[in-house]
Amino acid sequence: MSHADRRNVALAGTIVITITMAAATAATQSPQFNDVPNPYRPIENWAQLPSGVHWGAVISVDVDAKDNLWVS
Amino acid sequence: MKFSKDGTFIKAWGKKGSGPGEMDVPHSLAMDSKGRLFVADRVNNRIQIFDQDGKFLDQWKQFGRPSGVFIDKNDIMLVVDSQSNAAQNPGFKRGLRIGRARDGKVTAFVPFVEPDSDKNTNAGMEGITSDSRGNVFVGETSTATLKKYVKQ
Repeated sequence: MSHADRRNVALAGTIVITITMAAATAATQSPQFNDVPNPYRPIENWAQLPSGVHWGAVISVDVDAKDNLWVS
Repeated sequence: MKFSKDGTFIKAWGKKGSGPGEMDVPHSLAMDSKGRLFVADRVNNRIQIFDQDGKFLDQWKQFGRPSGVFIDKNDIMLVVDSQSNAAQNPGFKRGLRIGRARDGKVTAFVPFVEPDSDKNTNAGMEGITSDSRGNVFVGETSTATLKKYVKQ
């Protein structure tokens, strides 16, 4: 392999590493989907359960036409 | 799967995989005003969109690793992500992403605050809906609670 060939291989390797690093950086940062505004504030403990009843894992919730809340 | 209103089976589609129309843990679904079906294809970190006949239309990754999806009458889409971390979906935080079902633009993000999401494979928001006033309700698993969110 000539000196020029070795230089081209090294250059190609550098480009590959640079592209790989850029891709890795992009993959680890998605600010456009994490840093958009948060226009909401939470209201904690607003739903009151009867005495002796406790929340489990709440996996599904829906609202009916009268805005009643259904929870499982 | 699709059934008629009288319970008659109409059709099913998809198989386990990561290609268009394939799914890995289809965890939730919702439909927009045009009748397009949005499937939370959780392990593939995407929302897949189908027409009424099951034809693949598009896939969106900007809503994170979806555990729950809800679309209101104005085609505002709410997607809860309870599993993103460095190993499972690098670059995405867990929480609620709100956007437009029409074009997929993410317009808001409500983070789910936890001390170390990288040590937990599943925690946080899974149930999601909103009422006629635009209040948002989120069911949480690890924290075992139902939260109400109102506009600031």
